[in-house]
This record gives sequence, C-alpha cells and structure tokens, in this order.
Amino acid sequence: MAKGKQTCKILKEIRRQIAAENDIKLVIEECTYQGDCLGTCPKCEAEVRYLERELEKRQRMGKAAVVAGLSVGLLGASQVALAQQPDSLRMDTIVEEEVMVETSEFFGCIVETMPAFRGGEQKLFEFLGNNLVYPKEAKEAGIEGKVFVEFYIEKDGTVCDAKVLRGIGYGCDEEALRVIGLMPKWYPGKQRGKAVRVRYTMPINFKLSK
Amino acid sequence: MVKARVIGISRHRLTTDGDGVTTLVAFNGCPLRCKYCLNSHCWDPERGKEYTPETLYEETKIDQLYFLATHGGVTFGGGEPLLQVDFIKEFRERCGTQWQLVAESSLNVPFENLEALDPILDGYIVDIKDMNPEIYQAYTGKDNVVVLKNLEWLLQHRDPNGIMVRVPHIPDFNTDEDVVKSMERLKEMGVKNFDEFNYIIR
Repeated sequence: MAKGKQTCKILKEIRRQIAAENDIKLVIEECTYQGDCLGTCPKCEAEVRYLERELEKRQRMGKAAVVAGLSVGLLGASQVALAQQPDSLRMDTIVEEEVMVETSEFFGCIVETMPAFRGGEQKLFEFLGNNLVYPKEAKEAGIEGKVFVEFYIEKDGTVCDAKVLRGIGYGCDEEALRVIGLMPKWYPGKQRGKAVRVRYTMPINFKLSK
Repeated sequence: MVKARVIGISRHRLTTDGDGVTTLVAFNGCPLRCKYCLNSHCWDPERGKEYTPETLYEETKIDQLYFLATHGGVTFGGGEPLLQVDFIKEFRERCGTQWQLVAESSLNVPFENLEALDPILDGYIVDIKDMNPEIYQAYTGKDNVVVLKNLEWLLQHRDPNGIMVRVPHIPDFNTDEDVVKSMERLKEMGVKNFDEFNYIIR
C-alpha cells in the first residue's frame, strides 16, 4: 500500500477510536480516491474539526474527553505498543512468558461506525492478557508468532463464528479461538445509524520473554 | 517577540521522529556544513518563513487530537533546533505539557543551550555523524569536542532510552569499520538506542 494511503488508514482509525470512546457519532465513508495522497485531505481534516467540536461540547457539559493515549499501539505496534502496555497485561500465573496482544491491524469491511470492545482498546488488552495462556506445547518448542483470527460482531454485539485465518500451530490457534469465544458483547458496528453485522480480523501475538 | 525562520513543516509522520504521530518543524540555521546536507538551504539566513511560537502553535495544533491519542507531538529539526532556545521554551508554554517535544540535533551547540532546553524536552534524536574527530571535521567542517561533552552530560542526566543516536555510513568519509568503532564507543558511553543508516547521495 502506498505510504499516503497507509497514513490515511491509520489516522482514520485514530479518529474512529476517539469517536467510539467518547460516544460521538462519526460517519466514516470509504475513500474512493485511487491515487496516492498525503495521508490527509479536506474531508479527513473536516472530521478532525468535527471531533474537536464534539469533544468541546461534551466538556462544556461536564463530561470528560477521553483522548490521551487512546491510540498508542496503533503505530509500529511491536515497538510502541508493547513498550507501553500496562503491567496488568502480564499474567501473574506464568513467570517466564508474557502473552502480548496487538490490535493494530484491523481488517474487514468498512462501516460508518466500527464495532468497539466495551471499555475501549485498553480493556481489550486487559481482557486478552488476563485470559490467554501460553500453550505448554508452544512454549516447549519455542514457538512465537501471530495468530490471525477472524470473527463477526453481531447486531447485538455478540462475538461469533471465529476462525483462524493464519495460525502458528502448537496449540496457539486453539488458545486464540478459546479466548475470542470468551469475549463479552461489543458495541456493534453501525451503518446509517443502524446496527449491522461486521466481520473483524485481529492478530494475536504470542511471544516468549527472553 | 521571539521569532524564528522555519524551512519546512511536515505533518503526520508516523514513528519516524519519535513515537506516535509527529509533526517535523525544520528550523533555519545550522553551525555545521555537512557535505551531503539534505536541507542545505537552511544555511541561507534569509530562507524560510518567519514564525513566532504563537503562530507555529496555531499551525501545528490542528493535529492536537492525533498527538494526544498517540503520545506524539512536535519534533524540532533543521538546521539546528537547539539554537532556538527562547522560541522552543515559549512554544512549550503555548502547547502545554501533553505534547511530546523532541529535538533532532547534532548537539554541536553551546552547553548552555542544551541545559536550558533539557527540562522541557521529552527526547532527543542525536545526529552524531562519526565519533572520529578527523572524520567529523572533514565531513562537517567543525570539530566534535562540544558534541561529546554534551552527549556525555545528557547520558548522565537522562534516561538513555529517551535518546536515539543516528550513526550514518557516509560515502567517501567513513567506512563500515569506522561506524562499528563509533557505535562501540557510544555504547561505552551508555547509549542504548541506535539508528544506523546509509546516506544516499543524489
């Protein structure tokens, strides 16, 4: 993907996260421009101004604007996100390993409002960190890598139909599916104000500590 | 009113100049005359657009939401940003404490400048060129005595994780072996983060 388009995609995801976390309705339309761009355009800029106005409005009404650090982890996930993940992600029950999770690469169809884990990305990290167990088989064989899992968020927020798109074996694929199956309901995706079923893909990173 | 000339502003840089979404602000003016300088127009004191900290803040704050959400901010480069002490201090007062402010510097500046700006900077990207004084002199036209003293001070006063040292392979000026030597010496000094790269001559 051309650099500008990649930048655009990341900035768009940051806007989506800010909107979702602050309960702001944001209509994100898929960009139809074919050539490369600078990563932003008047339409993208207008969305940022809209978010600013909405956040100001909420602050005037005494609500807290949740922005700080919201999208840390979206960029260069392996360096930025993992360095800043909270201790709560580390599993107390296992000393030698950490299961690290990144949600930086979201794929799937584009809807106006993407589904969101209740409590935001931070809570998603915590949920995965608290539930994932490094499979013994993988640990003994020194297996590390990402398991790409696809699932659907139903109109009522239920997570279902999870399957492994690309796995690494040694019990990691089954473990990723098991934990996805434990997930509580999400906020559903929306199209023109109506809840819709959305396909979601998430990489789950299994990494042994050195 | 403090003013400075800026030769370029580049928005939405993703992890190139520090963590998060950053805007690079390149100042006019540099004490060095590097043979392969990418921004040699910064040597002409008339080049660039004049800004006050206020006008620069107004122009960069359009990305404030991105900065806050990703722990990003403004990276000052150039030219030599550590020559703009009063400007950057006043800019910090305008932008507040939540923006990450990083200086991309050669550290070939008076120690007083570094000392004055250090408390308000979140990180450094140090362009070390080469640790060998003869190579440094040949490539930049200046000696590196002050650079080493400043770097030593920084490493004693800061968490080394907040300092990235760029070590370039400079065609016709240093060899791969020189780069290895530079990095060994820097490691002995306490440097933890390196960006080793090749200069591409156009």
